[in-house]
Amino acid sequence: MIAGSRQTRAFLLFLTPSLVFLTVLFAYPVGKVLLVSVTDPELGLQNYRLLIENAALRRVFLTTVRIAGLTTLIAVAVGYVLAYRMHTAGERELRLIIFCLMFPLWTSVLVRAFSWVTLLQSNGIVNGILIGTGLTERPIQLVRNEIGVLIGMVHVMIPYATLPIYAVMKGIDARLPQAARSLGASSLQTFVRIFFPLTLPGIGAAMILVFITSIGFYVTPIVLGGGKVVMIAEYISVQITETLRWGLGAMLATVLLAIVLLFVFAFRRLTVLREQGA
Amino acid sequence: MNRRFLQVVILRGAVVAALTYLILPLLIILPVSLTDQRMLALPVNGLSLQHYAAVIQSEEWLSSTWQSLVIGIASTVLAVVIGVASAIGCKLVDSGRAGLVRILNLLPIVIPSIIYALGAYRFYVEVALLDTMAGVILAHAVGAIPFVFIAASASLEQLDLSLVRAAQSLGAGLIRTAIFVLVPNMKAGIVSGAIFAFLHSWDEIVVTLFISSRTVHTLPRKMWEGLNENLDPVIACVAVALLLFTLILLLIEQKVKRMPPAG
Repeated sequence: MIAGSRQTRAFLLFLTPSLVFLTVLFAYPVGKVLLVSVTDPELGLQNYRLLIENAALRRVFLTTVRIAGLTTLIAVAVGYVLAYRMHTAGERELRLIIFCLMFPLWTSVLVRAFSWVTLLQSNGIVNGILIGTGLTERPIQLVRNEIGVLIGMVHVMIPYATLPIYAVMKGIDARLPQAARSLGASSLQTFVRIFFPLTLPGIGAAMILVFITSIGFYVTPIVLGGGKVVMIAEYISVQITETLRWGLGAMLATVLLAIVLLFVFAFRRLTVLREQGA
Repeated sequence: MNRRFLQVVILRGAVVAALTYLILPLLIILPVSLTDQRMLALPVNGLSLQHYAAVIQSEEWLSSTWQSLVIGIASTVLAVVIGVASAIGCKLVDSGRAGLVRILNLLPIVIPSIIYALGAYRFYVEVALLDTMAGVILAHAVGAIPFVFIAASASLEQLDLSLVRAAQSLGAGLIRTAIFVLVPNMKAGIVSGAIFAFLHSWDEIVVTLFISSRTVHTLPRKMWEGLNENLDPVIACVAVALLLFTLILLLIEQKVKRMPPAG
């Protein structure tokens, strides 16, 4: 911090550009979407009533939560194993794992969805191998269903799951597991009773991060679900671009936003609690 | 001893499987792009560059590439200026007053893109920015600001504020302090932020789909259309180009991170 007299000048100079830019181009447009959910087609909560009355809507929500939930469980489980290996690995292996996480993380989701289609479609490479080795006679349906969507989404989410868990593991006092070992605990006991409980905050953070990202997914479910698996983001875009029901689309966007912000808030509570505990 | 060995083998096996799963889909596009077939498949009778030739000869793909580059560079410049300024601001101004701006700077990566896409579409109809280069540049800058802000803030975290006080007591104003004292210490963060900002724009598809149509057709948009119409190996060539670009930028970013700060 700097002297009080300069604070206002510093605020005006450095913070007003982003304040103005993001308010006009981000907060205002997003705010308008929230508003439309109660004004279109007419003022009132009729759009929100559809959530209870409309079975198709409920199905979309259910599909979204189911896929996002499964993605979260699988990605966090795989992420835990990777984070554990990173925690124990030497410098070279650590760099290899980080590369394998960062390269996909920064690769376009579109490119990744595309390459999964190439691999998984019925005349694709995976089915070619399965048939070639005699494991199956006819191609297995791996895209245009929930399996395909899960394969693609877990792939996108593993880096998001791994990094927070690894960060927590790095902060664990190495003397604690050592003490347990020297007191006669086996390596498995040390892991289950000492190490694993200490990593729970990382698991919580990873689960929330992966879940809030997964429920808003757009590209991957469209490409790999092929119209058969409709998640909420795709459903919203159909309301806007095809059936032109802005009120309904905006209502769903608002609900999605509310869920995300709720989890972000929970996440902040979690990190605050952790910091107080430490 | 045997059980311990088994544990190690299982863990190693799981790690190798996970890493293969992460990297394989990125690597597989390369042979597919070199296929001699007319559909998406591995090469059968040898490698062929025919699909690359098709991309290079296609005016549409070239103009998409050009547009993506222009939009990427322009939105990166915008996001870097705004994001770095707010990182500096959040360091200098007390957290109570800067808190709101900090949250605002992070929101674009927290809020699902589809929601911003709807908002941007409606807003752009109002202000006549729909399907313009300027509109896409602004929207990509919005999405890129958090990446710049996070990277720039991280590089400021270690910085001792007594440096700032020293500069000010010697008579430097805020702008001179920022340019000559803070920015040189943030080089690594600014470069990382700029690379992530560019990659954000280079890959952005959800918002772009809503705010562009005929005039603006970025590379991902063109790929998206191709993906929905016909699965042509030409798309694999474009995907390889996108991948290589990402890889090069990431390697630069890693290099910069390992360099000592300031200098």
